[in-house]
Amino acid sequence: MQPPRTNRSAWSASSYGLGFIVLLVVLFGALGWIAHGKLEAIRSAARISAEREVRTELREAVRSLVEQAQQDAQTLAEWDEARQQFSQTGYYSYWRTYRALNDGPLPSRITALDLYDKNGRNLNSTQTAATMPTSLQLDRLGVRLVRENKRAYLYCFLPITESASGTQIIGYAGIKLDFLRALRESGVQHPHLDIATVSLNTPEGKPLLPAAIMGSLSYDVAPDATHIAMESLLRDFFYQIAFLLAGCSILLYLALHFLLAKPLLSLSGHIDALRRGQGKHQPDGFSGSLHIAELENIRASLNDYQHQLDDMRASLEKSNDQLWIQAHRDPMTGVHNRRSFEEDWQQTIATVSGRDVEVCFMLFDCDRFKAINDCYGHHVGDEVIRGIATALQGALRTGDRLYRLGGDEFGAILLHTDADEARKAALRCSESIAAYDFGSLGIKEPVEISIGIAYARGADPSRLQALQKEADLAMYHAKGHDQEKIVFYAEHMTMEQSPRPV
Amino acid sequence: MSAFRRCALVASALWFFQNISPALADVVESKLASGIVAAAEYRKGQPEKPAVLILHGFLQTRDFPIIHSLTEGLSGSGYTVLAPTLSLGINKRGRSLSCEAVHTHTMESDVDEVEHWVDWLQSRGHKNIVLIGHSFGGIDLADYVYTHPNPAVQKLILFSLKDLEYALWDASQRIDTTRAKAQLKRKSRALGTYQLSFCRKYTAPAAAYLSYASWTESRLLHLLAGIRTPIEVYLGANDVHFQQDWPSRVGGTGALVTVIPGANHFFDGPSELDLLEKIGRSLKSLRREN
Repeated sequence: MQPPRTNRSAWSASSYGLGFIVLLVVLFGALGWIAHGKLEAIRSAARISAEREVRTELREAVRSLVEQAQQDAQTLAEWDEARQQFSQTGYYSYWRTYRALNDGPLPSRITALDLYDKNGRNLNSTQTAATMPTSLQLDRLGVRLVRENKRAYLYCFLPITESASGTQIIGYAGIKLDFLRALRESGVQHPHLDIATVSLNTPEGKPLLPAAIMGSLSYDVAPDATHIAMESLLRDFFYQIAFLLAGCSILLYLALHFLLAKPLLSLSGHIDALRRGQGKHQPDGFSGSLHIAELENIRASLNDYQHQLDDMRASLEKSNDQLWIQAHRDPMTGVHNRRSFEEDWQQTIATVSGRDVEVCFMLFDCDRFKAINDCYGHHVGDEVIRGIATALQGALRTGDRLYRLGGDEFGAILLHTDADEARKAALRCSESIAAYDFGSLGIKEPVEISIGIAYARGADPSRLQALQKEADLAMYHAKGHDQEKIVFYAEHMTMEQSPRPV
Repeated sequence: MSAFRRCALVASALWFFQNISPALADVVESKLASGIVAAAEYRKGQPEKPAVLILHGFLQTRDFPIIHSLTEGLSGSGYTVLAPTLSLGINKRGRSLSCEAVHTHTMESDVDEVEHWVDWLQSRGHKNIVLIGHSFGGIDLADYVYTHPNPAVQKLILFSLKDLEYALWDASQRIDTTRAKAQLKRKSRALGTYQLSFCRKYTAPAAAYLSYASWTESRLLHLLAGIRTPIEVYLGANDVHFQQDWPSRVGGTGALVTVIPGANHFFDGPSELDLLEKIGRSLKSLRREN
């Protein structure tokens, strides 16, 4: 039988399912990558726009704060109590600390202030707050941003006149505020600027004019809540789709596996089992549960086909049996024929050779059968032959085979039988023949048989090979004696010694 | 105030000011002995009419509403008006001074400034001068008139004169006065935070604080009684800064006391015209006397 032809490049249904899932993952990944790219492009455009807005917001915030600082300094310069300090300096430190910075008209963003005389010297240099300069460079009034101790401070120095509407300078007012804190606490909403990230990048102590402040600030764009929400929404949507696709893929794979691949594998296994059985009977058809109509049709067709094969096989076996019987049975008597004897004899020799097994071979021959045949006709002769066969078969032990070797000659192979038992069997056969009612056939003379018996032990193969000849000689010796019809072979027996030629 | 009375008052005021001609307003500055430059609004009027010096209340300026209204009204009637702003130690002070400011000024420095401006008027040829003071400014003027008798000062008109005893009635201020006196005894010039009149955190050296806080009711009444110059006092019936018997006690000093119905301490609203009318009539009577 040729092995089944298999297509090594073909994939299983599960592999196709996995391939489909992989393809789905790849497609979804590509889609996600494209969406991510688009989002990045949107984010980049938004960032550029936001950075432009941030610069505008920061510039406006700085401008506003500089203006506020100037206004604060102007408020201080125009304050009557500030002018009072120039005429009554005795309480300046108290006034500056407890009055001007706490109860005065100045806003809380002012962290320090001081007054200076018209020569730029602090009104009370011995008790000047450490954060304010002790003297002014009168050519550097106005607003300055200075980095001190890693913090950015905005200074503003303005002249103080003798009255609010006067022009005569009597001194100078200076204020100081924490620039970055004031920016953060200005109360102005910055939609794009992350005000907490604004920092000043200048060396310590280097003063910056208002126009140069923007160029020395670093800052970050505030996270756009709308974009974040949109991205979060899209990301959640993407994850939901991915989760859904993953779930669907697993379900699809399981469905493919359990509804298609596994049944197909079972069908394939069943067909392989049928093939491995090489025509032997398969007791059951394929009974696996199939939930796909097409597969169910295949299963039904396969089972029908298998049943048909079983029937055909049974029919063939029956025909073979009949042919075997026809080949190994004598059609007239129904006992084994000579072909069967030859096969059994060779099998017996092969089986018992070299083993200590006792083997007896008996030959039966009907006496005066030719006369019966000639006298009563072939029809009666055939009936006599059938009667002899019936009688002998009935006399032999169960399992002992009787062979019709030709004409009126029969044989039997008796295993595990010594000479005495063989003699007893031969005697039973002789008595059975004698007891058989041949008279009903219209034969008036008695029907007798001569029995030749040869005995050997299997340990001597040469003796086994000679048993047929020895039984034949013994049977012919039996035919030569009217009284002694059961004869065991003896070594002195020759064909010349037989009473009549074989 | 009934509608009829209100209409009559307005008509009377219009009659009084029928000859009003706009006077030239000028801010004059003058250097005080202390070196501080003080400023005043000066409106020159008709020479035959007396000059009027109008002084604001405690820590206020000449821009206080009632002061400004009187300045406008009297100058419009042809009176020469000088409305100074007490410097309170501040060069060219232009705004009211906060209670929390450092107050080194004293009652004496205030009186000196009043004297300075009276002298300034006299130096401008004004021989008849009427002093008008609001609230504590009236006490400044009374102290000036008492301590610096000047024949040129024809009359002293005080409105909303504070009842100092009532103002000092607050227990906290009494305690602060005691504390300030103890500090002054130690000759300390340190600043203290006290309660003074409407100020809860009046910041000043003890001496400066006491120069105002030491003005008791009896001292004021004694002062008024000792002044030879005619005194007219106008009090608002609705002024919560004095007790019910305050007008009679003031009147007991010889001052002519008039209580104006419906007026409060600041004489705002319709009572402003009442005050203006009364002061106008008073000034006219002064002309007739002259």
